[in-house]
Amino acid sequence: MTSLQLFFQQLANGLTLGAIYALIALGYTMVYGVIQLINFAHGEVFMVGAYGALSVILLCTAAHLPWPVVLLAAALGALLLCGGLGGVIERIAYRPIRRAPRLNALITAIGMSFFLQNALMLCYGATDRQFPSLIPSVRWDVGGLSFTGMQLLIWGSSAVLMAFLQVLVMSTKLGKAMRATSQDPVACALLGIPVDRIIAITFVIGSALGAIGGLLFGLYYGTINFHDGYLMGMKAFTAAVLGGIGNIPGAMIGGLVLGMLEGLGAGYLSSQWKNVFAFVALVALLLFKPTGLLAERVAERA
Amino acid sequence: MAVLLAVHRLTKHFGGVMALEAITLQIERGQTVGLIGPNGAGKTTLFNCITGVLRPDQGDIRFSRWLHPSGSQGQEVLDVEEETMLESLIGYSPDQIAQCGIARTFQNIRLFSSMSVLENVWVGTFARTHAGLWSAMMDTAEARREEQWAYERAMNLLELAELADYAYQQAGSLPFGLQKRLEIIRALATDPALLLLDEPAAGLNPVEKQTLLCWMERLKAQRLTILLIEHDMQVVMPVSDRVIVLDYGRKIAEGSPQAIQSDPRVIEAYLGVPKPMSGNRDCGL
Repeated sequence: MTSLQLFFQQLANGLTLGAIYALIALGYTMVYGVIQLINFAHGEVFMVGAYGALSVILLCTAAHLPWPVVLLAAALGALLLCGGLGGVIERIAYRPIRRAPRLNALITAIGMSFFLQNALMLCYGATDRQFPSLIPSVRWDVGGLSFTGMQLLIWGSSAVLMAFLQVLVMSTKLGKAMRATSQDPVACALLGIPVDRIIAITFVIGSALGAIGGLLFGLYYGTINFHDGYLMGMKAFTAAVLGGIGNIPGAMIGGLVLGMLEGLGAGYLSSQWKNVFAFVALVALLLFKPTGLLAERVAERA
Repeated sequence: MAVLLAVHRLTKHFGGVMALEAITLQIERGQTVGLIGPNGAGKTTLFNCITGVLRPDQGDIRFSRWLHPSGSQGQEVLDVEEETMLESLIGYSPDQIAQCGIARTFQNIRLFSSMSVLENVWVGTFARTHAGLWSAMMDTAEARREEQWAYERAMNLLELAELADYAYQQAGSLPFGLQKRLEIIRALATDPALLLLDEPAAGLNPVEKQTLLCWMERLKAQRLTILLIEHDMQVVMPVSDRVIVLDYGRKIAEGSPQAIQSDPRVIEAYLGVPKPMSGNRDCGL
């Protein structure tokens, strides 16, 4: 393998992981956009998505369904489960303290994160769970690089979801209401927009994207553990900050950039060091461009 | 005349400060009422109570929404028993109150500054479109028709305000005077029965003030009811049918613009009368 091939191969691997980071990062950034809360429970919602998908897959494979059906069912199951969970978390944990100082909400988020993590451990056990390899292991060699079906699935599905989200936010009524809410919820309410509902919907959509991230994560790595959500959540949060938190295209780009940095770091230095690589990148960026790659606006509300 | 808004003994305090003390006032449909008073008199607090941003401690706010949103037809018929048509707004959320037909602007501009001028007005029309937010996502024929309606309505309003050329610019990039104008347009997009304007002339140059006056005359001609907070007497006096004066959270005077200008209590509140126990008040004139 030439050095150029190694470079591109690592880049491709990094992009795969980066696409998953991006999907999770969207949840952080959307919620931050509307209520300026770092929803630390989001990493766990992602994990609930992974475990929910696992349950659906186990059920469906027991019924001997063909793999595309199983995959769709798992995606749908995880989507609904996490969407609902996101809505419920917002309603019972965050809405009652929306007017409280921001630190209270942050601590509630951390508490919610612990709660979900331990609930997962109680339900599914503390040991690694095997994720069935659903996707037929096909592999293409193009110009000395090799791509797996799994990678294509991850790229394809995350590209579709991100395009869908972009259209939703930029050109639908809901999206306009979401952007307006993120800029000034009070002015928005005074124009007759049900701000509480917009915030709840934002949680639902963000969580549902995280769920798909969870499914893809499980399929990609083959095993999942209840505390994987913590590190993945941290990474995705890093990605959101890299791109400029609150900024949706920023989260997408941040995720991909972080994934590529890790891929290259793992390829050229050591895969043991890839986390160090990711967080050093974050520190460096925050030193030189504290608002992130794409941030156009820092919350300037009084 | 039919009463559109009736405020009864409205009281609000912040800690020990009486922001509003048993305020009672009525606004008839089609009237323009000026609300004046020195800084800190409680004018904006009153707006915040009416729009549901603040919950009053005591008192009632009643609003008549029987004509809304279809316009002015049938007004004469419904003039009978108007009192029973008033509904209390207490306990409604700001978005519900806006849906009832009350819109407002802000003392310091609160546009969605990184959205386009058109989008700002568009968001205002949401109060009058019925497709749910989810169904709007599904792109049904009904939702598409509404989107088209909302777009046209927003564009019409922008043309009326001579802002159509700026439709696709970021709202935050407009000059100050145009931002103020856009904020009024955004409020009008909700198709209100009652428009609350919080210092619309503040910071405008004389030409812009003239335009604003013209505008308000036009809105009056369309029988829109307006409650106007304004310090600039050259704006308040010509457009107002009636002027209410607040000072220290109390209503100290009410009457025609001519009567108010010569009312000794008003002059005292504004200019201060040297008294042994109190210093001069901040002068709003």
